[in-house]
This record gives sequence, C-alpha cells and structure tokens, in this order.
Amino acid sequence: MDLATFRAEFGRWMAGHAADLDRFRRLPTDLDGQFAVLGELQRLLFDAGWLRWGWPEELGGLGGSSLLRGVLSEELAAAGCPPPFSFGMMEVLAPAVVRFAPAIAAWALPPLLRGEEAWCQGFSEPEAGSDLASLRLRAVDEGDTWRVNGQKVWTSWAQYARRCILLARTGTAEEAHRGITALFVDMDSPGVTVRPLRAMSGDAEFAELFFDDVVVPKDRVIGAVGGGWVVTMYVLSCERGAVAWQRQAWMHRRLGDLLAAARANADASSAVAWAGDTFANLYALRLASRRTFQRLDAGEIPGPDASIDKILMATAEQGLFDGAVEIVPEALLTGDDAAARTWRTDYFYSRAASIYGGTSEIQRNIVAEHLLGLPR
Amino acid sequence: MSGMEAGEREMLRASLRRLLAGTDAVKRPAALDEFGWPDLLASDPAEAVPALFETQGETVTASPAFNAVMAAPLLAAGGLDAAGGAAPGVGDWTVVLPGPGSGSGRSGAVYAVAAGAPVQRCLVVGQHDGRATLAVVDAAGSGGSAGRGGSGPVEAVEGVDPELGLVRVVDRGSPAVRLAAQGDAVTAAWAEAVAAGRRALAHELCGLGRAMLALATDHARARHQFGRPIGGFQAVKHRLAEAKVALSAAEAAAGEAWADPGPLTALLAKLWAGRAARLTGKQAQQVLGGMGFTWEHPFHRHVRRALVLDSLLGSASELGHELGRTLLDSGEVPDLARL
Repeated sequence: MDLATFRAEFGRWMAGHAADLDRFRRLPTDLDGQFAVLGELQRLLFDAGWLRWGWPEELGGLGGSSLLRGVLSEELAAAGCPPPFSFGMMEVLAPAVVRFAPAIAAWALPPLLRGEEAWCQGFSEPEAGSDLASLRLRAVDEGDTWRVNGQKVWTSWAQYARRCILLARTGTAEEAHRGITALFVDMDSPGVTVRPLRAMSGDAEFAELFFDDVVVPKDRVIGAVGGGWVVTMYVLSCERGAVAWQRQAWMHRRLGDLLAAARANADASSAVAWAGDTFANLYALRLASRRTFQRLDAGEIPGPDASIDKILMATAEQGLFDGAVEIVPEALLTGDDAAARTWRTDYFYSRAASIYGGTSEIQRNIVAEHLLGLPR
Repeated sequence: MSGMEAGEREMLRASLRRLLAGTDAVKRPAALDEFGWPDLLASDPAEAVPALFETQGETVTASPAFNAVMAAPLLAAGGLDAAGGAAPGVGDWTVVLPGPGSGSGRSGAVYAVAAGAPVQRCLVVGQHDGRATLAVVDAAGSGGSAGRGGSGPVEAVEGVDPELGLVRVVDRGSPAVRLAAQGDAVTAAWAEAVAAGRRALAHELCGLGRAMLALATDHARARHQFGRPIGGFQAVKHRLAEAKVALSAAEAAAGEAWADPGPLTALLAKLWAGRAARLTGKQAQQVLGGMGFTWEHPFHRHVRRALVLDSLLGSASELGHELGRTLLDSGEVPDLARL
C-alpha cells in the first residue's frame, strides 16, 4: 500500500463514517472520559484495519511502511480528531520493543495495537531529569528474577497503563549510562504504586510510580543487560519521528482554526506577522520531522540531528499557542465549553514542549557539542 | 532533476571555489561562461544554482550570475532567447530589482547586482497602463567598478557592501529603451524570475551563514578565558546552537524549494535563509567579541553581504508579512512538505 493510495482510501472511509467519527471531534472534558472515548476511536480504526497498516504482519499488523502511520494521524487531525493518546504511546514505545525484544513484541504488541491495553514510559526520576543517566531505581539480579526498588516521576498516563518500559540501574552508579537496563514490567505486579500528579493544565496526565520489591521475570529485558541506554536513545528518537509528525499535524490543524478566528476579528492585520512566522516555523518543523521519520522508517537511528527537530518543535508549538492568547483571548481565558478547554489544554501543553523529552537547553548542548564540536 | 553523484558535486564546488578565488570581478563573467556554468544552469539548475551560490556565500565573493538565474524566464517571455538556443552568458543581461525596503513600500529606487562587471543590457519589468511590461535598456557597458559618474542609466553604488557591486538604475529620460513584451505573460515570467532569484539568494545566504558560524565556532574553540575555551560555556554554546538550528532549517527549506518548486517554497526558502543569516550574524558577532568588531577580521564582510542579500527580493521580515497576508486572505494552511 503506497502513501497516496492509503491517504485516498482512508479519506473515503472517513467520509463514509462521518457520523461515527463526529463524536471524536468533541471529547469529554475530563481525562478519564477522554481516555475512554479515544480508546473507542482506536478500536474502531483497528477493526476497520487502518490502524494495522505500518506494523509487522506477525505482530497483528498489515505490513507496509511505518510512514502510513503518519498519514493516518495526519488525516485524523485534518478532520478535527485529536490523535488518541495511545497513538503517541504506541509510536514511542512499541518500535523499541519490536527492535530490541522481538520475543516480547510477539505477545505484547497485538493487544496494544487492538487498543486493549496501554503502556507507559518509566524514565525520569526525582533526582534524574535532564541528567537521566544518573537514575537510581535499582534492579537486583536474584537468579531467576529481577527485584526492583525505586521511584519514577512524570510518567504520562501511568494510571491507565498495563505495562511499563522501565529504566533501571543494574550496574554501579559510576557506570552512569553503561549500567542501565530496560525492563518490560507489568503494572499490576505486587509492589507497584501509581500516584497521579495533576499538571498545570488541571489534568492528572502524568504520575509518580513507586516500586517496592517488585519482582520482574528475567525474560523481560529489552535489549541487553546494561544496554538500556541504546534503547533509551531509540525511544527518544522515535519521539522525533511518528510522534512529532502527529503533533505537527495537530498544530497544522490548530493554525487553520486560529486563521479562521483571526479573519473573523475586526482587526486581522495585527495577526499578519504572527501568521507568517508561525507557518514558517511549522514548515521547518515538518521538513525536519519528515526527514527523521523517513530515516527511522529506513531502519536508521537518528543521531544528534534529532535534537534540532525537538528545538524546532518547541519553538513552533509555543509560538502557535502564544498566538491563541492574542487571537481567541476570550475563549481561552474566560470560556468553559469544550472548545475553550481545548485551547487551554493546547496552550498549557505547549509550555511543556521545551521541557519534556529533553529540555531545549539539553538539546542545545547536544547540538553544540555533537554537531558543532564545541567542548563539553 | 539533478543527476549528480556526491563526488561530482564536490568536484563542481571545488572548481567553482577556485574560479571565484582566482579571478577578479571584471573577468568573472567570462570565466564562468568558459567554465560552462550557463549551460549547467540551463540543463540542471538544481545543481548549478546551489553549487555556485553557496560557494559565493561561503567565500563572500560575488558574480553577476544571479542575473542569469532571473533572466531565463524573462528572456523567454520577451522572445529574446539567443538564436540556436544557446544559453546566454553570465554578463549578457542584467535584471533590475526593486530596491531595499520596496517590499514594505519605503523605496521606489531600482538596483541590480553587477558585481563589479560592466552592465550591457538591462531587463526591466514595470507597469504601464495597468499592464506588466518588460523593457530592454541598453547600458552599453556602464556601471562596472570603473564606470562611475557616467551619463548612462546605470551608476555604481558603494553603500554598506561595496564589494557586492550593486548598481542603481536611473531613468535619464532618453536612453535606448525597447519594449519587449507586456501583459500576463510578463507577470507570469516575473513571478518565475522572482522564485528563481529567491532560491539562488537562499543558497547564498545559507553559505554566508555557514561561514559566519564556522568563524565563531573556531574562535569559541581556540579562545581561552577563565582557563578554558569559551565554547565550553553554555551561554556561548547555546547562542551558536540556535544559529545551527536556524541554518539547518534554512538548508532544508532551500532543498525543498527544488524538490517541490513553486513560488511559495521559494519564498519560504528565502525567508528562512534571511532569518538564519541574520540570526547567525548576531550570535557570531557576540561570540567573536572585540576581534569580530575590527576591520581587520573578515567577519564584517559577511555581515555586510548578509544585510544586502537579505533585503533583495524581500527580507525575511517582509516575506513573513507577505506570507501572513496570504494565509489570512485565504484562511487556508498550505499543505507543503508532505510525507
């Protein structure tokens, strides 16, 4: 299936199912409700086959280029449906499991694709944020099993997750990034506690995780023991591929919404410079994300170049939604309907774009040290 | 579109670099003609334009080749193509451009990039009775570096960047002017010429930006203060990283302007290149410190060139306004850079 055919056929299917899809354009205002409704969207798309394209056939997919997954989220966003949370999770975590732990992927991926379960990413810790390689959550080799103790934080949607890709220290602290192992942990294991954290948007979209003597089977290692950093880097690069493409598709849609609103305002001229700059920013983001997405699709692991994508993303996203404060101030500041809440969510979420997944400062360090060759 | 291997591309650039370094301004048009650059422009512009203009930018050299890039569609519209279809030489035609600030209505003067070589014939696009016109003005070899103060329609300009060899084109009432074409065909040809010119300027500005970033990066590695290279300080790193991000975006936009040619991708390429060159100039200036503020250091030549090239055919900020107006008029978000 080529991209153009997929785009055309999916477009026809969406037109034929406009009534079924309409409710996904107006989501419930609470996170639990949103999660439930978007889960239904995922199952609808899976049953119709669309969500299976771009994933390997032996894992419940229909094969084809992973770029098909980008087209899917793009067309959904163009139709006004926000990308399901689970899309982001799948795109970030599933490729790493497929690449580094095919035996786990064989049984774990099909229910993820079907929307029967969600996964989460246990990376950051209270003392290991930007300095991720100093993480301390410990996994001790007890022969047949790992015993895990420690804490994670900023884990998105952990309260809904069935599995966690967990970074644990299996070597010494001095080994830094060389002493880390990635584990595939069941969230219902005894000793796992999830404490949701409320974000500044008001939603409990992330959580603290506590692990007290959690027992993890030995066959739940992703990649090699002590090889967790490679997995980590791959996961982060996947955030610059399909996930970034999803996000820019949504930003594209929201720019259209803001242009429409600006045209309806009495004085649209004040938005001229913003509109041009914002589109130019979004264009640069699209060019960068497309290149990274294509490289990932070809099996490459993007290097420090992907840090450029992340900086472009934060710049474009924050500039776009800064514009929302100017163009739809009444809705964003005083509205209480679903549309107003979506503007607020977009605005607040955009504030984190320069923080999550490696801050803009860390990305600039990477660009300076690895692309410009400046000293550490 | 482009049929070159990476190795051939490198050889082409290395040859152009030698050519630009080894000839003085007056002889450069003939040297480029002899090199075969006009034929390459006609057969493979996606290779010819980036190779020459990025090299010019990197080395802060100038040639009148920009005119050949813009002239092609105008010559076709005016029926001025040479007999037998031979590509015109680099110095044969000079295209008259709106001056700096014209994009925001601040200037009515018109200029051209002569780059120190004599101007033979000018192509002037204007308006007459509401119709676009294309006129040929005979300048008879005026405007070269030695041609100041004559009575012809072309006079040399010093300005902020004398090495670029900008000339002002003035209406002296009675020079040899000939109307070559008018109407929609001229409007369309001018749009094509502007897009081609913006693509070329985008590459030249990318080259300039890369050169400025290299000057600043080398300095940041070599210059020690507080017992270590200043490039080890985050404040310095982040300035240069910002420049690198913008240049990388500009290079991608310049490439896309060939992969998906059209007026909008050309505008975006020029917008990003102007933005990146101006930002890189600002960051590099700061990192170079006092050394970069001297006449002796080559940096100011880059800054001067970037200021003028950004202004030609729309500065980054003018193009941002043009783009914003287009978006707000249509209400549509253009669907570019598709998967």
